[in-house]
Amino acid sequence: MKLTHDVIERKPWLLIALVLLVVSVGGLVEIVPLFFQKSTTEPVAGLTHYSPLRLAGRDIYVREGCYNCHSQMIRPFRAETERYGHYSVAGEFVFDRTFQWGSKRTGPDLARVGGRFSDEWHRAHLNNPRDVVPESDMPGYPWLASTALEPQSIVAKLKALQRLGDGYTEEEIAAAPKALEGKTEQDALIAYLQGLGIQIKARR
Amino acid sequence: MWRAVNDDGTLTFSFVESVKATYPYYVVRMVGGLLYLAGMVMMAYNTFKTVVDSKPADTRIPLVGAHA
Repeated sequence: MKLTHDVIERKPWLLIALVLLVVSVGGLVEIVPLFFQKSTTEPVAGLTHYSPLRLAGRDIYVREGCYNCHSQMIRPFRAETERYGHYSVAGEFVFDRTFQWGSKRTGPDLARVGGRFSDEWHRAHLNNPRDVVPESDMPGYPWLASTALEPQSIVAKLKALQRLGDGYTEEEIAAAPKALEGKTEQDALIAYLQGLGIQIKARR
Repeated sequence: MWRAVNDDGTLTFSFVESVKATYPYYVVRMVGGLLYLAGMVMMAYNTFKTVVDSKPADTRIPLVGAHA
């Protein structure tokens, strides 16, 4: 049997098999190299794994669903880089499990929010955004300030990330609960936000 | 609005200005949502009334097709 166009189109199962073959080869060729490329697997200069407090803050960011309104991905377009700073690069997300790129921007992108506002500004803003931005439509998160972190809960998370190869040392893990003691969820979230995207600085 | 730039290349609007501009649309969205909700309430009322007022029908169904 000659594999002509006519034959392939008349045999649906053969067509399905050939389509699957073509799509999977195309997918593998595009995706697999990304697992080994330096630009996608190596952290950008200055980026280290999350400190215990920032990791706790990141979990609160996920828990409160911040990603539903805030993206963390600056696209390489002029309007974006003017507004938020240098576009995001893959190396900035190597310690993000899972990444918080998001796609909805009811609120502004947060990929480079680190250091843009003071801690005090964040405190006021998280308690009631309208106190600092009158037109804001973001809900307040006042309970974060009155909820204490559970210091011991971070250990298991750090161990899991250590197993995934994020480079936490035993001493770091042992000292982690102490870093969380007496801190509120708001402290952790602000620590997380203040470290976002500060490795690449290119702003006019 | 999102991409508008001034002659010197700076952005015309801040983010929060674009948020402010969406408020009328959120009002429209709320009206649409209320219409949708009203439709569901009406359907529930309809279903409720149908169930409450229902009586079992005890009528003989005439056999068709058996004529000579």
